[in-house]
Amino acid sequence: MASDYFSTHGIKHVDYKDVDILKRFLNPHGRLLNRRKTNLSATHQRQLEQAVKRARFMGLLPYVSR
Amino acid sequence: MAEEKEHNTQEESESRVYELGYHILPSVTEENLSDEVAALKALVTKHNGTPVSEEAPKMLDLAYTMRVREGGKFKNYNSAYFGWMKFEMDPEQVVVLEESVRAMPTVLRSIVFKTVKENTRAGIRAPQLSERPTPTRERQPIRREEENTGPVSEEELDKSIEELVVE
Repeated sequence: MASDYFSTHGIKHVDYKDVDILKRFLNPHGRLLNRRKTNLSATHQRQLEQAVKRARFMGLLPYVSR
Repeated sequence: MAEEKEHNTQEESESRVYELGYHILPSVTEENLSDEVAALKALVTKHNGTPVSEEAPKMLDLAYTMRVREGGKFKNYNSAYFGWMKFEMDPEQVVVLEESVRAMPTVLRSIVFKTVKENTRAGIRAPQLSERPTPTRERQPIRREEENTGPVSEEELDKSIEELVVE
């Protein structure tokens, strides 16, 4: 089973400014992948969701693409 | 009981760290950027806040066009100076600060949320195309010796072929 990305890289907090990391968990349309595909823990998935929403609001990530 | 109270006060003090992310209008010149940041900092200190850490604003392309109403007209922005700062503040003051930041004419968009004192940036970046490591295998020098041997006579060629056939 694939491991949690944030745990394996020692990332304690998911920051909305780390756009390169957030993009790994988005599909080509800019939508967040589900937990089955991200392989994240429930906590990290929630933190990721919050970070992506903040990044979208601040124009760092698109709401929709393609 | 005393332990619980201590724990609560500790939790309270942790919950007072906030982050302010902001976009400054691209129409502001780079020389005046520091003044804008100083104005934001002054706002934070005015609301009894103490700055913890910050990053100076940098110009970046926005992921989508932001539309802002300016003097009865809508104006579109595709880029802005993005910066952030962390500070400690009372929860009641944060709401007031958020309003006053939003009211600043040079701030395109802002966000305030609860965070932690320590650095939250991961520091891991996806490899960029330009940063890809170059292949370590060194190029072998092209052998020129064979080319420099000059013309080979037919007899020598036959001989060498015969030798190869015998082997």
